[in-house]
Amino acid sequence: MHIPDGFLSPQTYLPAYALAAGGWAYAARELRRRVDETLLPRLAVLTALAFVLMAVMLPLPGGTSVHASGIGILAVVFGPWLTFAVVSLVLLLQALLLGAGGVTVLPVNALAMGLGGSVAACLGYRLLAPRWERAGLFAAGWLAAVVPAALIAVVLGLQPAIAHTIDGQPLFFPFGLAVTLPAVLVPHVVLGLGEGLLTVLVVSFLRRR
Amino acid sequence: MRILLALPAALLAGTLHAHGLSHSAQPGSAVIVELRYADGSPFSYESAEVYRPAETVPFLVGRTDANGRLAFVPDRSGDWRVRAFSEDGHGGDFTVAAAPDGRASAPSAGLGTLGGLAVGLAVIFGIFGIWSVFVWRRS
Repeated sequence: MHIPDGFLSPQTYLPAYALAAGGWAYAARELRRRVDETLLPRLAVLTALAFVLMAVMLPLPGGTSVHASGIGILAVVFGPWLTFAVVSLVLLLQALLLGAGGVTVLPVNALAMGLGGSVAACLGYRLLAPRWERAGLFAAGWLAAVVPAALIAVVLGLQPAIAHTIDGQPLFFPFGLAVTLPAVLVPHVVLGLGEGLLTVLVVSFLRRR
Repeated sequence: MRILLALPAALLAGTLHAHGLSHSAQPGSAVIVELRYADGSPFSYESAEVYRPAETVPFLVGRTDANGRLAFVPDRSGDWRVRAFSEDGHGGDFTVAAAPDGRASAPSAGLGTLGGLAVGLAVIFGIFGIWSVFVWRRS
């Protein structure tokens, strides 16, 4: 799901850096407010889980590959702002150590996955969990996979319109929305089923502890 | 009369010849770039572009082959830019140092997946571990 470096125009990632910087500042304040001896070990373990999950690529029929993220789990357990903070850390480590994603595109990936995914996951969970806890957890995981994919597909698909030569040749990612939306969304709708199941299993396990 | 007949025939022959396409198989050195997903599966049949050093017009536009490979024959030395895209947002944008004799060196592959995972986990637990010590002392 990570957008690699070189796919997005500066007109996209520079405003995204400004937006994400505000989000990181708010998330840091939220972290300082909530931090205690019990929060940090749990946050460390689930951040590590997200880092590993994002590094394990699962091949899908048709020649593409996807990965789980653990964002649904983080969002349900810690809320969207702490999730945004730790997912940003995970994405930075992935860019620097594994070559997945990139430094210029970091704010776009972080906003789409860490904030968009976790806000959607929290909303889905809060809507369904009061009546059926497991359905709420499943929805959180599914939305945490599908909503970031939709946001990333839109950002990628807008690149030919945002940055192109005088004769219309795209300077960065070359495919438009009609191509990116189905190509990115369909695999993640399927992946979301696994992410939803993983969220149910992990959060249920944590609550029994 | 013969000249009048020969002139259009010569012109026609020239025109027909212009539609021909000569081909030759040259032994030589190409740079082969292999693209793979993180799980090792080939980045097959995807769009790819190659740019000469410091140029913005593509030197080669095409697709990777079934094995995720792309070959080009550099005609000058320098950092050749390679871009590859799939419709679902996978791909890369990187440079390969290449020379006309086929010598090439890609940027270092770095730590590898397992090494990167180990270092990343160490950094995560290190950050939260040190932070926990500070929080524990403060409380």
